Amino acid sequence: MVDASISPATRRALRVAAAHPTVRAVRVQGRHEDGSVWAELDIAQELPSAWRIVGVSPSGVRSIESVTIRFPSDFPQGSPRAFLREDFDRSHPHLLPVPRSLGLPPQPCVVQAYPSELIQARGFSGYLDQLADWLDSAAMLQLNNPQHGWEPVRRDHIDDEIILDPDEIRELAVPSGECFVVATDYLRFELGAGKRMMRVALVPAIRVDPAAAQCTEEQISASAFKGRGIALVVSAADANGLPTVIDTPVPEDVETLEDLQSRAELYRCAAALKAKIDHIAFLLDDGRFRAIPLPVIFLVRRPFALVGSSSSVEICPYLLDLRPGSGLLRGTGDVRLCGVRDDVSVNLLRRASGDPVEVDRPRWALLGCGSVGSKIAVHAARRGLGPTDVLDRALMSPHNYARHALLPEPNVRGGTMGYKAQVLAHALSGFRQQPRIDVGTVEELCASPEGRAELGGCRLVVNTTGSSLLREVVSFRAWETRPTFADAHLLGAGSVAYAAFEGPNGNPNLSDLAAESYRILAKDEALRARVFSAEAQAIDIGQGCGAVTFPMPDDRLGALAAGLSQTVCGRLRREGEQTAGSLHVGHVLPDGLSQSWASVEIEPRIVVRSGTVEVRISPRVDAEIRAAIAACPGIETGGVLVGRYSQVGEAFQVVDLLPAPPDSVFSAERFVLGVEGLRQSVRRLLEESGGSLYVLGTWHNHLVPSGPSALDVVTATRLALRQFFPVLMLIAHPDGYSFLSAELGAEAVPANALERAPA
Amino acid sequence: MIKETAMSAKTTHFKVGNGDMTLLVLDSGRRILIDCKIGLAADDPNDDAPDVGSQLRDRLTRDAEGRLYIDAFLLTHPDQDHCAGLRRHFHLGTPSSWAKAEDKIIIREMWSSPIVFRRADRKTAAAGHTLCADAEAWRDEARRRVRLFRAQGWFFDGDRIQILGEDVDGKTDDLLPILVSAGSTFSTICGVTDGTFTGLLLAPMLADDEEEAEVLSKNNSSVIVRLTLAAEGNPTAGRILFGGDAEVAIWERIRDEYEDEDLTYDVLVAPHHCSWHSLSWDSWSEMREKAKVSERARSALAQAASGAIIVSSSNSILDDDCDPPCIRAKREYEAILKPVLGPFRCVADEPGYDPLEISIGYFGVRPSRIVAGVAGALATGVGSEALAHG
Repeated sequence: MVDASISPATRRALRVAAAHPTVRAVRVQGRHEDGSVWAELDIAQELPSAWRIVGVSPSGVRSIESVTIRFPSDFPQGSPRAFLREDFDRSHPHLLPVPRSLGLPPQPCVVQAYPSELIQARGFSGYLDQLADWLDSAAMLQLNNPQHGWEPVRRDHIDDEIILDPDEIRELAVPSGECFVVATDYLRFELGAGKRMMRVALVPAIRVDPAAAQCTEEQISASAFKGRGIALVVSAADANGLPTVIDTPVPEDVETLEDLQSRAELYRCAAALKAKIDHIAFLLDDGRFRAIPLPVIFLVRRPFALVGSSSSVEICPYLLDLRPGSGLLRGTGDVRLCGVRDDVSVNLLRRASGDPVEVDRPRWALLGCGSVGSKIAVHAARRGLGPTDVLDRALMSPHNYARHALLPEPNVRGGTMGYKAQVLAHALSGFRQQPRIDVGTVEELCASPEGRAELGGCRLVVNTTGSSLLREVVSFRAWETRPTFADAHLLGAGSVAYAAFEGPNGNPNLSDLAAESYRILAKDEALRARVFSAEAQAIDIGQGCGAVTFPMPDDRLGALAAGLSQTVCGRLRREGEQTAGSLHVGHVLPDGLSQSWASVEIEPRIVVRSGTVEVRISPRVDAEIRAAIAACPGIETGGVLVGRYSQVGEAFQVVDLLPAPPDSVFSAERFVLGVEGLRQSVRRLLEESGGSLYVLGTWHNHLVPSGPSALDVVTATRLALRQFFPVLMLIAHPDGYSFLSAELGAEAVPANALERAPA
Repeated sequence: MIKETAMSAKTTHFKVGNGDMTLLVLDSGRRILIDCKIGLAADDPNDDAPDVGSQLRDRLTRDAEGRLYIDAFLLTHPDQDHCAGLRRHFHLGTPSSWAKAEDKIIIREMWSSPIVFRRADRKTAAAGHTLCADAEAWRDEARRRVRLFRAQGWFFDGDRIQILGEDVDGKTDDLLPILVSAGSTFSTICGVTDGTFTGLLLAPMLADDEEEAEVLSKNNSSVIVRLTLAAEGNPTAGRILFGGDAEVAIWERIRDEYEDEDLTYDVLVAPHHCSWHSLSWDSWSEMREKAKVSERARSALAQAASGAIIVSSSNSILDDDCDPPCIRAKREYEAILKPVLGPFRCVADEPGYDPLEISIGYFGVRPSRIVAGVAGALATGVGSEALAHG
């Protein structure tokens, strides 16, 4: 049945078609002059039972549809094309829009990408499956009804495109039914032989008087032109105090100015549009107006919301292809169909990211706009979650471009110059997420009540400076309204990523979290070698990093920064109260490529306070102490406290214990801490944690609720002689904790304190 | 490309050869399993038989305690080809004895014929009707649930049972709250009324005496039920008639007892895997084309609504002496469907391993399209015949 002039690939496809379960018949129509082969396929539908007897669906799809396939001569590199029968309902919304003048039958929009790609991946039978699916769905298509919504006409696969923000444009559908003239930016490509392709972006905020319009155009390459122009946006006026609703769907086949005018009549806005077009025609005729691509946008109110939208206003765009000396004044001219693309907006970015769209953008501040900070900001902004406040005091320097998220301006020596915060904010404004800018330091900001209120209004304040001093300052300040603080930076020569999020009311705070992280890192052989090595200790990557003094490639930094950004965005998107803080540590494995991440929840500290001094005990340490006490009923026991002392916060942070040496003495009256092996344990602790964790003092228990004894004071004084920061003596008793803090050179040993731990 | 309008209710007919296994998902989201046949071959990853056990599990959801469950399991009758794999895949016994390690499926409510209590007795045993091990397990579980009901008068999910059909001699009279008698309708599942389905219990009918009971029993007495499913706001979007293994005598009696509208269907699961014995008293293999159709039985099975689908849950139907499935029964069903333009679909003829699915939407029932896809791409002559190589 097939003639030999048909290529083997096409012959194979026809055999596959004949064997396909939904294909009832294949009729080869022949080979055209251009080498293409045309074949007609009868494709059976599975109609639901209600329509089987009539053999056609309400949307006009028959139980057997004849589809003509055109196989190009270069099939399968070239894509086949499917044509439906001539009398297939052309107002079906999922047809490819094709100008009527081409005289082609309706074409289904079978696949999003190129059919040839689909055929390469799944064979011709995969294409037929898609075609059959299209027909099935077309048959089942719920035609416009209130529950389903109004199907807007599809405008995929058109070369000319209009870019606009749908929400912004719809605001121009005013009750008085005006024809607005707004500014545009456009690109025009001359493809030869009079063929053109155009892309026009609308700027609805800028209204233009056509008579005074400053349309400009410049040539940017041999075939491309860039310019500023105008567009017309028109809608019907309300009638009798009610919005004008147009409920007739029509096929998309406007080609001439005349067609456009009759479409305007259908949409009840012909007079308003004609006045503007006539005005432009006169100006054009006088040579007072440049021949530009002129978009005409109808805003058409439908009886119910469009599918996939909460609005009932359909945006129907056309493009008047003005040419010098054309007969616009005489009512002739070419009108082109065009697709619509959403302009960059928070909603578009979220949809493209697969994130929920209908959520408020949370207020959050980014402290530090360096390499890590800028990358987190840009990652977040691309998800519609960009920072609302950015703070940095530094200027952008040329070497920053080795790892900063922003690109240097090509024509500016030294890259883009300016404050980092300003340059980043400018870039974020392109994502329609302009943040508030603060050029300065956090310390300055925190010094004023206004500055603190600024931060206090944020859901999250992310510190990417890597500054541990800043960490201490924000952790221990008395905040009127405390936001949740977070740290995000790199450690260990940029091979370890670190993120920390505070718990409720700053418990645990960033400082507590850092102390816990040192304990966790110290226990991991691979991590501690990287983080606590002498080289790595030199610099933490962040604001303090010098790209020249500490070289590392951007892709490495970017890989870890992407993980940090995910933790930040995850936290921003999470609703509800947090009950604990959290730590997230990621690192690059020895292959240099793989990453390993661990997340742990860090519970609120048990805080014991006396005067200005605080002891902040990890609940895990508390449990260990209570277990040790329970193991020796009726006698005193004790051990060594490990952690950090914060000078800024005057706080002891207890994150671990060393057990009492075997030569210790335990009795009902006293506990004597022995010495056997203790020095070695302390040395190991210092080595493993790179000195980030150290001995704070001792703990022991009292059998009844009481403060330090006279003996305790003597011992504390002896210990203080050897220590360069205050010594901590923690006393656990049945009702909680009391403590004693002593320091050499202090005016006196602080008074005894009896504090109860929170239940 | 068009995003398909979601159809809300669905039936899934698994590829189990000559046997039955159908999952119904109601518009309310509740799931009813009608019979199961999960053979050892299906559970063997090295066997080519479709892994219907996993296919079933993939279509279920888990409860708050992480247990897979079905809301109701209707066993039409206790034959091996309708309950195979019950013990391996379903949790039997009190819900509290469920173990994560086994991860079996919880049956919130059993829908059982009273026949399971009777089959084991001596008369029926003498007639060759004994219970296989899975059927015995079903019977024991049904007894446990009935005992629980008799003892406390109420129960929770995992202990529930409804008895479909009265037993002779008033044996089920004290079970009225959990009894559905033949000819009545029910919309209760797991103790609540579900407006998205109505069951009409056509059989087993109460025999007038033991002798008639014997006749009915010998004719493969099954639960015969027509479930009317609502979908997308249409209360009668799909009427599904399950014929079990009922044979000609039962269908004749059903014809006499019920009106046409009681027997009208949009989907018929052809009784006894498309068996000739449901339509005729004559033997197909002996009489072939001379065999006579029982007009009464045929009429009981011929109330196809416009566009109705008849499903044969069987092996492929070939033009041979085989019964079931029988080629002449298929021809008869196709004749029934011809005036209403409905399709006849044999589950075995679906390509690949996937089950046949029927969507139920506002506009009625619609079978899943046969997709070539992978099956088409893998078409090969290798393995279908000996291939000589010189």
